[in-house]
Amino acid sequence: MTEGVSGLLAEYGLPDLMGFGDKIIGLTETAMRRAISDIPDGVYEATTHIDSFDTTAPLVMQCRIDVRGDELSVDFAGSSPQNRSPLNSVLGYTSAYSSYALKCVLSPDIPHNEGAFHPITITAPEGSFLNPSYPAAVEARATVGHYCTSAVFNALAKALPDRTPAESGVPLHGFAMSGWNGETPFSTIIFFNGGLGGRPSGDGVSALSFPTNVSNTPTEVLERAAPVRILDKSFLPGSGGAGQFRGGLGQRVAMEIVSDRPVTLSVLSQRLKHPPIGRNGGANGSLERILVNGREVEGGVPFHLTKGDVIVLELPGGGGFGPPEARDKSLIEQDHADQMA
Amino acid sequence: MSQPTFRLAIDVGGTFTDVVLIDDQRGKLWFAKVLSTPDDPSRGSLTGVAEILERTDTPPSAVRDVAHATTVATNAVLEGKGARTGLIATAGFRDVLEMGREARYDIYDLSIRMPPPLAPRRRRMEISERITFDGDILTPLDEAEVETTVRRLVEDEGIQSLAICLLHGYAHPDHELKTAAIAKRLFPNLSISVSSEVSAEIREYERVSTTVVDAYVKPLVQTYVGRLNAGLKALGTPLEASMMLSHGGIGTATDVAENHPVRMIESGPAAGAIAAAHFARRALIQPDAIAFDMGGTTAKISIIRNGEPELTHEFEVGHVHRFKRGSGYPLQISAIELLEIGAGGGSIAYVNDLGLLKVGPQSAGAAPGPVCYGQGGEHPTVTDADLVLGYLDPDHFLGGAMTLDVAAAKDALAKDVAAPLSMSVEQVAWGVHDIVNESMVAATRAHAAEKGVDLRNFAMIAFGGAGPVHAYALARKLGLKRLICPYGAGVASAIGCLAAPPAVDLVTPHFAPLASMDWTAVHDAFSQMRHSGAPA
Repeated sequence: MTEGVSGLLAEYGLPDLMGFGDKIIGLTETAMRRAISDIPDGVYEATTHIDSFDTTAPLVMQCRIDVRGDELSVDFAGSSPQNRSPLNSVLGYTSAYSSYALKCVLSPDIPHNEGAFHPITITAPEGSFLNPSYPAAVEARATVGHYCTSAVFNALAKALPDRTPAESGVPLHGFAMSGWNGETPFSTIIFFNGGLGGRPSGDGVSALSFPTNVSNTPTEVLERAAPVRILDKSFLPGSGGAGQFRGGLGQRVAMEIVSDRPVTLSVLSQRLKHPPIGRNGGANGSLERILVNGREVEGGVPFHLTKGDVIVLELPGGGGFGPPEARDKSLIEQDHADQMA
Repeated sequence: MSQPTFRLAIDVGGTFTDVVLIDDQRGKLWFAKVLSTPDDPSRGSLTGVAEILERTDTPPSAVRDVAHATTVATNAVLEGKGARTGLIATAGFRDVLEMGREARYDIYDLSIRMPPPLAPRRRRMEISERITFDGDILTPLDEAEVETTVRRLVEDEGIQSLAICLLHGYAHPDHELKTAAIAKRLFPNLSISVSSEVSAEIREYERVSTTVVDAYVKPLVQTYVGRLNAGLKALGTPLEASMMLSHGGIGTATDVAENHPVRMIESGPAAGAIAAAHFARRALIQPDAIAFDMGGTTAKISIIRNGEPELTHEFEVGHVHRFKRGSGYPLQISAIELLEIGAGGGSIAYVNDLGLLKVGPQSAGAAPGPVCYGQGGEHPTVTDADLVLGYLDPDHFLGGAMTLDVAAAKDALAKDVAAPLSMSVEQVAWGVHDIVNESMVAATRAHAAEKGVDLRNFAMIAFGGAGPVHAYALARKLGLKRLICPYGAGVASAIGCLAAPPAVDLVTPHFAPLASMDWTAVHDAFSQMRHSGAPA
């Protein structure tokens, strides 16, 4: 008896898997085209802002979605030029996070493959920070990429206001730390997530990874591995934008250095000036704050922390969805009892 | 009077309670099936026991053991019917229970929901205390604060059960135990679950989740075990019941209910796998087998190697999406590793958005059930397809207790599936049968590959209502040469209770880099656990 793929081919009398592959890709393409056809034809534009490091002006994402029949294009013309900070994203990365946003809203249940991309084009002008030319620093591409999802949602919401969630507390944040743990050198990174935006289906989830999917590190494991102590890791009450469905809460993390020797810590701050925006009358989520020993700081340069120093990170909650007046009374009471609002 | 030689086993399922009586001396086995009584599951159990003893004319005093498996704990979680539960946590960490690991179990679902915390935020309170990972007391316990906190939870929030989980409690339980003692002194009847006693393992989210589930089910399990034991005593059996645990061992029911009811969460399915392992040991020279249990809603696969089912130490209960890992409450318990697939006799066949024939995971379950049952089911199921194909005898179903409506099954297949696909009823019936088999086979192959198991020399042991009907096709697709449909396939879990060994799980944390591990210390810790786990 033949086994595996040869057994399958023999059973169905197929020469190879090419026709089978074409069929699978074709089915997904058909489903994606049908989903695009359900969007009214037109041009939908939105501007999304990102905190920058080296100037006082924000980076601008200009997103233009053009829907014609069963095809859709996303163009980032008019976005900021590439910059000298690492806040640049190569086109492949920009495209991936943009098409991801489309997939989530348009066809989340259809098997994902090349067929989903056939009716979609994603472009960004060369030399922009969403399609930079060599040489450009791209270390913080993840931060930029996460905002691409927000930018596409913000434009798509003009076409599909009842299907597109509010902005989430993107991007993912991390403490990158290194130094000495007693006589042993250490280097580690730990991650934190803000709140999910309010959705047509309900409140945003608090402290949930989106659009990436990165878990936290258990405090009990971290404290064994690095000379730090987590003093607080809690939901941040009131951080979710109000709405019929409020944004998920962001979180507050307080961490103390317990090492006798200095620890170098980097954190890319974002959302110090531009909160996650609400949708359909929902309020914006909260702004981010970073404090070192009680003093507010920006996170563009590494910190050199010594024993007893405490760094606090307050991550934004998501934007709200729909007008707060429409919120169900029982949800208001529940938030009150749970001290979430 | 001679030594008692009879043993009883009870398996409380969602629909039926199965009772098995064995006479070890004569090697005789009797079965009884009675309806379960979800409002008080002990009633169904005791009815079944009384019935089988009376039918076989066995004096209750001749029974020397009553082993049993039950879904009481699981159902409490699934149906949200557990105790009003509170949590005491270290200052700064009450939200760990709800924050979880911050990851999504489905990356495309914008409507994603996480399981609601079994202790909502208003019933999670913090106390100022802190012990470091290496045991230094940074902030001593404030006993007055503990008292106030416990009082607030009980008197203001009305909790019936209290979970205590403090940071680094797995290694340094002092503050947890003191907190528990204070709570016990204030409210002697309050049910209390302490993380270091329930699950002494690192990782605060998984441990607090385990502790809270334990607290949530404990009062219910205790009531149930109390009633069962009282009932058994009234019947005249001399012994207290013992309980099947998730890892396939048996413990004293009162001990399990008192100390870690969370460990019985997968009691019933574990018992099925234990039965299959027992049959494998008896029937096969090399006891390697796939246990295949197919019921109305799901199929469960477990791999048995060398006569023992595989164990896992990561388990989840109460999934928001039944077949999506990460959508439930994680439990730090050891459990028999069961692969659960959304494929059962009641799984519904339909044509999806892409125009493809699909089966499940939606199920018609026991009510309304398949169309051919004639109990109001409207959509064609796997059982309907099996009937149309002739795998089931319409005039002799459930041992002749039920007749099946072939015409209705054909009509439903024609309307929902054959018409949109422009195929004949027989063709789509075969399609449904083959797709459900293929999905079980694909999942089994992937599972075997993950475990590094070559299945070709394995046997298949099939049980459950729909198991034997599909087992032949599965075995053939997997290239297996032996198929066993054991006697008593319909009451396999109860039989498993009789085959399970007494067992206890112990955990001792010990941390060191592998390169500089003190193996003598590890060996000593292991010997100590072995000693404390041995029968007195």
